[in-house]
Amino acid sequence: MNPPVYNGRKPHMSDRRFVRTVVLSLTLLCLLATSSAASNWSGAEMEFTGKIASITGPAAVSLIIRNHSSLVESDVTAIAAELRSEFVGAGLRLVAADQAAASVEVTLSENVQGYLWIAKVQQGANTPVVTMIKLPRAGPAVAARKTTQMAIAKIHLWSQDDRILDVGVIDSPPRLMILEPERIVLYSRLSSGQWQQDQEFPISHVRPWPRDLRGRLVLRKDHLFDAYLPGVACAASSAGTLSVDCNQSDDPWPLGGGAFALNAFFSPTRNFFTGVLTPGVGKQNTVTAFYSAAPIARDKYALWVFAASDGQIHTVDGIRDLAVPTTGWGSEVASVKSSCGTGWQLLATSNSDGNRPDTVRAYQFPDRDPVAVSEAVDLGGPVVALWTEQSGSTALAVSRSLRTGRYEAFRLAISCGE
Amino acid sequence: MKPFGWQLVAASSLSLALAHAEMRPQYGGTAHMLLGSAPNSLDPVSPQADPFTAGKLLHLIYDTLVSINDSDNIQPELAVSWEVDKDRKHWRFRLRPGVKFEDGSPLTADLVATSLRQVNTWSVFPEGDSIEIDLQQADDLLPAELSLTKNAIVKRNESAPSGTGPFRVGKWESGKRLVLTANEEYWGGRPFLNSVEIEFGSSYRDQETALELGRADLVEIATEQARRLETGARHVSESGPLELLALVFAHEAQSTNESKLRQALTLCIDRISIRDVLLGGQGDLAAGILPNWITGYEFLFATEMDVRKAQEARGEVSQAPVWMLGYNSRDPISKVVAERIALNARDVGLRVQLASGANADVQLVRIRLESMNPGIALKTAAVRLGLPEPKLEGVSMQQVYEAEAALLQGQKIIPLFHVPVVYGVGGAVKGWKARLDGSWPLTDVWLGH
Repeated sequence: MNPPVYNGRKPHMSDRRFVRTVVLSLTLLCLLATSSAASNWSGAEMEFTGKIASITGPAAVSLIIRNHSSLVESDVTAIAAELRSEFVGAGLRLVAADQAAASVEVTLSENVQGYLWIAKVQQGANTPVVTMIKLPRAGPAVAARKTTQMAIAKIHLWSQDDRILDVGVIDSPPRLMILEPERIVLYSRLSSGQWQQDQEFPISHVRPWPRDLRGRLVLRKDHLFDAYLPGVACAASSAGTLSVDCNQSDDPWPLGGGAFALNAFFSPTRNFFTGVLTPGVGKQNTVTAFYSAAPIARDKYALWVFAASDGQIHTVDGIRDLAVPTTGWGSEVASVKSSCGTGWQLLATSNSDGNRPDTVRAYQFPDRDPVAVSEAVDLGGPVVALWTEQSGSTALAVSRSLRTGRYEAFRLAISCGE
Repeated sequence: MKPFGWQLVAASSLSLALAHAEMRPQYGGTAHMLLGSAPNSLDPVSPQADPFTAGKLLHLIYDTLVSINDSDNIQPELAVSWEVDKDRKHWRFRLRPGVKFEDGSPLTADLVATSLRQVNTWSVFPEGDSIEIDLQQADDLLPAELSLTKNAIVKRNESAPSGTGPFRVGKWESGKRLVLTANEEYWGGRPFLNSVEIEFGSSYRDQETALELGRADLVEIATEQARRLETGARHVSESGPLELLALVFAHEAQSTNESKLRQALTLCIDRISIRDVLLGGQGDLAAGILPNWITGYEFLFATEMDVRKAQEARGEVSQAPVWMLGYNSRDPISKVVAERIALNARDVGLRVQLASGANADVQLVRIRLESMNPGIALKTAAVRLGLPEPKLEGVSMQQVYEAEAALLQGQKIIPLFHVPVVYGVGGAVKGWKARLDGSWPLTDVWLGH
């Protein structure tokens, strides 16, 4: 008898190809992040120089540039070089201070809004004239991770200011679905690689959303997706023009599919599952209220892991409900199937009170107790969602960056390493 | 001046030993808070002895149309959108639907207009699901002004004012104790906590003891004690350095001689020693009314101590009057800072004597900035410092700089320090995210296991 599977992997993608794809994607993303950071100041130098030139006129000026901001030295050097070039282009002649008709002191400063470039222009004994421009602060970059025996490959999918509850990804043709508190937005990828918004569908709800709002997008075979929010369920149309219908509903949310089909009721006014399961794990129809759950395949059954709202991790096998010893686990778990180790890994977030970045680490359950099998991957902020994707071999994580405040979506996969 | 440390933004926290895995936010429980000062009233229009603390507290009960986030961006609150016409005088704010007051009645444009008219001279009138505000003069700062506590939306009943905020008033013993309970119907989602109990009138020492003994979850910490407490197993939370310590003269400099003497006083104060020794190393040396982290331009105003220049300026004036320096005698830090300034002044031939009461020539004041918006912060600070109203016609940083430079030029004020507001946070409190503006994120905190 074949071991039960969560969901079949796409037949055209082998394990080695999968790992290569992940590594390649990470490399490309790193390169993209580097190149975008270098071009942040485009146009700003010209505007700033124009303001200075309007004060000095075409004159011989001395220039001093200071950095009072969090800009790194390489950025300051690049900005200084570009400013000098713009000065010449604006008809200003850079000379030593004792030969200058005007001295210009440029300070790269910053405030809560962003960067502030300030020029103090001194012409003879006149009162100095101050001019300034403001610029947005730069965005985040994707950091590469070192690999160990087993590693979590992290692919950055999406980033936005608005809150993300969950994301759905269709690889071919590339489409991205973003579940937000008030709408579901669909994007498709252009041949240029850019994402373009296709459609958005509002989510109607009568009650105010609970704080720490959660939601889940589930891709379907007979229609595009279902979306679950506390007390609300939405379904995409199955035929014709795509539409989404949202209704007040206390229907249970799906936790797993295929051989691991399990649904659980979610509290409509809180941020957790009530603990009532349908159809249940074996003979167990209720467990302690929990935040997340994931199955680990065994030879003849599935071991379900629950991150309970009482702060403990429970394993449920259909007969017994055991609290397992864990150190520093958070409230999100998701399982992934891989070609590494025992073939099934549990991804679990680290503990956090929202002020420190969460990490995700992979664990295996050789017996009852979890054993860490990977280094922790930093997701930059608290993880607000972690769900297994339909393929079963990857998980989607959403975090809120502590550095930028933006919501970031990642795809996580297990890489077997060297 | 050191660059602002974004990694240290507003908060320093020590890791806590965790017996349990920390999970998603949990609902329930009561947080206990101790404060030194009590609000005079729970009505936002009432004048407050400590407007900063009262403002933070009242924002738990009332909402404003908009708020300002840590990046000085205007955020929707009771207004979901707004627009202004070309001449920047006619504003329209569309209200959030489905919001209810504490008494269960719905938020309406009529009630919002009535609330705003009570504290402003603007022409405010309801228009469908919106309110419209007509101004005499163009004012781009209006949205930021609407985020101030005085502009909180209040429905005034016969019994008590009613708000739409995340908490409701459970019990109010004026000046002593306030119990807030979670608003189950809050449009932004019910707070995680069931209730917050706040006791007023505790000294810093009592507050610290209560935190240590686990009798309080949140307390105020004296600025100069912050570093000491950070070395213990406590969680210390700081705002951005938004409290201004400054010398404020009774009037602007009236003559060249007076101007030179004030310049001498400005140059002789050993700010670094005062900060490092008396203020426990907390805060930044101030040269402007607004701190550099809010404006980015404060460094343009010189702050360096220069005894030689101070002596030269003093030497150019034959007769120097005795300045009476007033301070808050109930604040021990003000006393020692004033004493140190008097010593520094004596070293350059200035005569400064400490005084209490209102007969002082110059006063050592401490004010906390009430807004993260530079324009509004400057305006409200000027009022509290008794400075002329700054001429601000727009919101650009250039305009704010020019307005602040004009205020400083009058030499009525000598800025000294910007220090953070510090809170002690108990180990059971989770999700406390210190904000730059020093507000209390009680809506988002929960109590751990």
